[in-house]
Amino acid sequence: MPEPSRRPIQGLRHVYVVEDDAAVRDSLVVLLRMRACNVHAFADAESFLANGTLVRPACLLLDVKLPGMDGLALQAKLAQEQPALRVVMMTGHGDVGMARTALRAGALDFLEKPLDDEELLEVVELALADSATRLDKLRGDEALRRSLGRLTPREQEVFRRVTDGMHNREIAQEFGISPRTVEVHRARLLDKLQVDRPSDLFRIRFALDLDAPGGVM
Amino acid sequence: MAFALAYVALDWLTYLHPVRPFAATPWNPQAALAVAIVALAGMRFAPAVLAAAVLGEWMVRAPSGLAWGWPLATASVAVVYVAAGLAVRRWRAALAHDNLVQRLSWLLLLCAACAALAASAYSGVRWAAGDLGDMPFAALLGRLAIGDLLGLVVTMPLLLLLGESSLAHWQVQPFAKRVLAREIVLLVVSFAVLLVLVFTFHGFDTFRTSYLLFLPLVVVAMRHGLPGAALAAPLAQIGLLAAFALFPVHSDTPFEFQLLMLSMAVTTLYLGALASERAGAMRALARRDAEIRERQQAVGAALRAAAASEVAASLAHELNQPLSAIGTYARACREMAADLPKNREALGATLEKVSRESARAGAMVRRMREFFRSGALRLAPTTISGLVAAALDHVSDRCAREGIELRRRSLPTPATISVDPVQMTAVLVNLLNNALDALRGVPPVRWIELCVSAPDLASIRIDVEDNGPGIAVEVRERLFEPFATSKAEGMGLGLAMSRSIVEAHGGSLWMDGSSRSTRFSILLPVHA
Repeated sequence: MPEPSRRPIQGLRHVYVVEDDAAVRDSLVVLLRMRACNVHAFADAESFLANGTLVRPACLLLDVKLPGMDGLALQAKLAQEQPALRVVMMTGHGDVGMARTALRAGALDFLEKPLDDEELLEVVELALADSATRLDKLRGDEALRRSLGRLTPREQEVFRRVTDGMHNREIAQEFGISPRTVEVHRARLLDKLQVDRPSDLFRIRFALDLDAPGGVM
Repeated sequence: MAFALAYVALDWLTYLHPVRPFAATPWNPQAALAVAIVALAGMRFAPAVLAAAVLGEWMVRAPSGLAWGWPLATASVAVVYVAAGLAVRRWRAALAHDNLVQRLSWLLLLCAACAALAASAYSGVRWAAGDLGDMPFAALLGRLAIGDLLGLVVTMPLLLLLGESSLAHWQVQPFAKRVLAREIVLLVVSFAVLLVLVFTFHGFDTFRTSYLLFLPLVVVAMRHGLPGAALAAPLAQIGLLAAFALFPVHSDTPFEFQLLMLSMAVTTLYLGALASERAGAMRALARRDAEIRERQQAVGAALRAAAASEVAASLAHELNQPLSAIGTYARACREMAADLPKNREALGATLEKVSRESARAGAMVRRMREFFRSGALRLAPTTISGLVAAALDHVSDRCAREGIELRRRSLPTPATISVDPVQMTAVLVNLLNNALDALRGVPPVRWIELCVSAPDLASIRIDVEDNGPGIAVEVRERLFEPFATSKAEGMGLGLAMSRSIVEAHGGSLWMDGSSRSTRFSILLPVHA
């Protein structure tokens, strides 16, 4: 397993702010810049989307009530397209239903205005850390997928059966090959996937959730 | 006992112009007394009626003829009175209370039947007893019947009204009491003068001028309704009888005078009943008007309360923005202060932002206070251009952001108008915001036009028109009702509130629209 690239978080503290009230927007920019964040502020969802590629890892402070596309719609869209971006919703009136919708759609938290500065900073740190973790996992998964893609078809079949819990003997019997050949496949599996112990194979299979649609196998 | 005394007294008092030998008098109010007492108090007065009738006959008329003839005849008359009283009693409960003309008609019919029966009974018995002598049966019957009828018709309504204490409810405004006293004196005097005129200037025919006597009675009936008529009728009879007793008249005129009295009484009573009904209807109408007004005021108050709570909620939401900004700026300032030399400039700038935001919050609160304080209209001469500019100011940002063309058209108008500027601006902003909402999702070109004109010298008209998709017919019908809304947010109080504000200014607010545009129009008097 490749070591995830643990780059220092400090230089990469990107925070996006989408908020239609100019003063609230500006105050967030001022405070978060003091916290050494790189703040990108937008007045509405449309201009945020028009901005182009997002820097990752990042956190998004998103106002629920926006002119045009509202915060909940933008959040739903981002949950699909930007799994590494952590979204924190902000609203002027604490509406339980709205909060539930946002949290179900994957928002990290839901802040009520007037914002509590302590809570805000805490949540932003949490979101940035979580985004980095997510990004790492996404990147790790990506690498693993690539490794799995390099396996031969027979090796992939052996990987699946091993991680199904079958013994070498049973696998050999099923494919009509000798147990010795199965052991060779297993050794190459460990080598190609860069793991030491056979138990790591199980971890990979479950980490990637390969049985889900879209899995490699 | 009191009743018997009154009965006999009345009998004796009205013992005028008796027609011998049976002393049939032209006016028998004691019949009405007998019928009315049974009608009001029931059967328990039947013995008293019987006793009083016999006593009256014996004492007042000193009857002649067979010993059994007159008591039996009088007793049978008393029986008829009692029966009539019971009939009146039943029927009064059965008839509708507010239909006075119908009640009066029934009463008069019953009086006629009672008089006819009583006269028939009396003369029948006397005839059977052979007491008639050379007097024709029909003549006695006629005299008796008309005397009773007159007595009943003239006196019964008054007695019944007294009995049910309707007269006590005959409301006279305190300030009108002196006027009323003068009026009564005037009427009585004029009636007396007319009587003298009628009876002295008769020339050949007493009745040539008798119609004049109707005039004061008509006045009384029209002005005071049935109670007035019921009082006036017997008074007029007394006057007539007095005149009759004082002035020498032709021997056969009593009968004609009886007819005059009867027609006067009936006319007066009917006019009185009609006047009372009309007054009752007017009172009911006024009461309903007052109720409707009260309800409208209650609705208005409820609307205001609801609107106030909506305004409060929206203010709370709006206040969150500057408060939130202030909190965040303040935190930033704290962090800047940790490294003062480096952040000195930034700190100053941020603190300035803090005070700006606190001023913004203050302005919001002031606006809110203004709204609540101006619950009552505070009219002030307001320039129309200023009013329109203030309203447009509220929406110009949003128009620019959403790419909506905001047109303003002004035709010549008076320069100022008397309105509550705060409330009227709120109305205009509401209409403009509605138009903006309606244009959401409409492809370009989108526009809103605000047009000010003066249809005449005394009024100003303001139209707000947009080229949105128009308003669905089913919404349109309920457009101005509170809580009718086609929007996802808001309570739908905007238009209802706006209309109530405009109407409080003595103006009107309405909508007309076509497939191509929707227009809301306000018409305001220049001087509210």
